[in-house]
Amino acid sequence: MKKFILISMIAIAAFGVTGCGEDDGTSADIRWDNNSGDDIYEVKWVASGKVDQTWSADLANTSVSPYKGISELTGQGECLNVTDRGTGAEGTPYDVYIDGALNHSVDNNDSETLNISQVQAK
Amino acid sequence: MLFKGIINLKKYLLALIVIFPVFTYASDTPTEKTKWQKLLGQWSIVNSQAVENRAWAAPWEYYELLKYNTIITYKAPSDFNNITVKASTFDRFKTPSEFMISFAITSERASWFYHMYAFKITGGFWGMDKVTFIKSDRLDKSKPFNAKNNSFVKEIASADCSVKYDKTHEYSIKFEGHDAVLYINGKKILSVRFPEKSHKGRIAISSKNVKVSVDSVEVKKNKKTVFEDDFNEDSIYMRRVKARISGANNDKKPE
Repeated sequence: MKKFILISMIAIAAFGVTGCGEDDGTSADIRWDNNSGDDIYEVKWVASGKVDQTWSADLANTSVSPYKGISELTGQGECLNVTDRGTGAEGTPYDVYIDGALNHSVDNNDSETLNISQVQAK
Repeated sequence: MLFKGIINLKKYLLALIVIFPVFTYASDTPTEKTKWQKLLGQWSIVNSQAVENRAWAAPWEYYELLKYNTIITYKAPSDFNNITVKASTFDRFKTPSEFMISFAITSERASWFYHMYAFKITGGFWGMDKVTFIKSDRLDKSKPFNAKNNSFVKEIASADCSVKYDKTHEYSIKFEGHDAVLYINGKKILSVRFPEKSHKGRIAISSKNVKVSVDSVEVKKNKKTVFEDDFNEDSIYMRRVKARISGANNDKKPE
């Protein structure tokens, strides 16, 4: 009987731990695949007046950022350009166009890769 | 040999056909018409007006202008003593709605526009009813320019005003002796002793939580116009990074 109670307690505890572990409070995961030809950094997912998620590290051309959770499913991308550090334009953000449009929607619980394909000429 | 040469020529021609439209499409460079640079927001020229059509602004943690939807003059106008902006605010997104005309914008390095003064007009549901004269600059100058949250905003003076939404108003900032004076529709609203010797620098127009439509901007030294834009042409330079969706990696997030 004691064994049964002990095993039951362990099972309940294990169920509780696994039940909470997957929910990080975000609605979806996104990452950026930078094929723009330029290195970028401080990539932000912004929505409705707030910065929802930020990838601060440099994201070199042809590199992929880690996945991060976002709360707002519809938003826009903004970033800074590493090249600007040497051209005197550093400190001004860029818009990230996703599939030709500024606004983009991600499905709930999706993991989506947004491929940055081009940096427009200055 | 000849056959290989033809094959290579074909490859070059194919590459040119593929590459050429990409580069022509990407010719988003400053031109002779460029008078402004977009910093943040969705600005476009519509019916001879510069319109910011997003209303909300997601703040960047650097300088004050990046907390608003902002366009900044591409170059600093030469010496001036009068800035006149005709603009209307509309489609309030939330309170406080903010409209700001900044000047004496300078950067110590690159485009880090930390130093600025501004008349900021704020309001709520019914309209905009307060104007504040502010100064913003870098807080700790020993830190690198890209250090986050390293700026301050100091409110120097404030006054009541009455600015209705959906109506074009004329905002004039005049430098009278040592004072910076804001007039709205010709009425003196706020006069402040300008704390620095020079008000030279770039000029910016910003908004937050409300859309704005700018009809014209004129900058004068006495009677001589040193900068003007009636937005009859696309004079806003916008830099972009373009992206598309990669279809190969769209997996379901683990439940």
